[in-house]
Amino acid sequence: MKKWKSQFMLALAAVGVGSALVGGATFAYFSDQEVVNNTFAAGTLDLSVNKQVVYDVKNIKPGDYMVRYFTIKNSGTLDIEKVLMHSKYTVSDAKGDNGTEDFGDHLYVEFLTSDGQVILLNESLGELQRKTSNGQSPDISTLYTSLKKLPVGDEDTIAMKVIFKENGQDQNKFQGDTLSLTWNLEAFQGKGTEL
Amino acid sequence: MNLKKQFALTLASVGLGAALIGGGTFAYFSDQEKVENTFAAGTLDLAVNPEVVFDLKNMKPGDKAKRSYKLTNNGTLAIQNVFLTSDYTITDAKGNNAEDLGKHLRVNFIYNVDNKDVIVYSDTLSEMKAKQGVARPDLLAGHTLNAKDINDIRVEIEFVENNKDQNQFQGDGVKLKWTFDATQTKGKEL
Repeated sequence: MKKWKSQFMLALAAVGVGSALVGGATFAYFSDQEVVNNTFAAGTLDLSVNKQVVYDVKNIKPGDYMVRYFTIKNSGTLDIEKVLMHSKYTVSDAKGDNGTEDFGDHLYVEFLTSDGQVILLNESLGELQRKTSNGQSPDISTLYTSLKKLPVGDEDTIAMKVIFKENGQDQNKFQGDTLSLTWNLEAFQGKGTEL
Repeated sequence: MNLKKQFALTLASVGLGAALIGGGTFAYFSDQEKVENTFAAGTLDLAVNPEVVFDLKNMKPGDKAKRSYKLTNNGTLAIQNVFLTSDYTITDAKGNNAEDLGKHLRVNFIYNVDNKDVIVYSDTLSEMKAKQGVARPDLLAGHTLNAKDINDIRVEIEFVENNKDQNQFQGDGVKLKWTFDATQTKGKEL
């Protein structure tokens, strides 16, 4: 008799603990889930140039001039806002007699429209190199369109004339010298917009 | 949980993020292409063989001193002109010259053109000495000496007989120095 009571009480106690446990920690609820997929695909900014070498001229003398063309194209999916032309050159002084004079100060660059008429820019290579090191490289994408852009798929043909200018003085120190010029064309995206 | 509080907290974090994006970034897409260029200057180099220095002695009226030279273009650029500058000094043996001996010495430059001898230039030494700068004679006389070309040029210096008494010049000597200035052709489109 006593045993049965105590057993019952033990069972109750166990249930009580269990229910206390059950009552304290459960979060059972109805729920539902939906999945939303989002894709952010970045566009590409891709400038291509149709030539790797534009000027390769030998045996030049004061008074000589050379006209060459190259085409820049937007091959990406994003509009190009500007194309900076960075200029950097080295001079190989054949007789070591140039002193402080720079061969690049005697080579002048003119940008022409595609019909060769209007001069849009007239700088010596020396000036262009100085502008580049001052962070003032010219934007060649503005020379041809008033939109100041190279939109996707657009092509611009750049016509250039380089002149070894006669300055009416002895330029013999540059005989046999070679100037190696690298143009680094850097294209940039436009401002962020709402899509 | 306090839904309102949680929502407010989320909004605040979104706002902060947006402020960060707006304020300090210079991130951009860019692309680069390289273009290489080479500009090589030519050389203008005239060589005259043998070196041109006349030392005339023991001449009498009627004598002709003859010399032969080779003008060689040792450079890579064509030569358009070879301008000649003349200078001379007279040794007056007896100190009795009333005149310039240079007026009595005539120089003929003989060029071989199309297998014919042509006098391209003829003048007295005193006239040549006076011709400086733009007045200098051009020994190429309108021809072009291309790179690696050699031109033979012959020179005659004649002590001209003028049928007058030229005894003042007996024993005199002339030291003549010629300077050749080669210049390039006109600039052109390459």
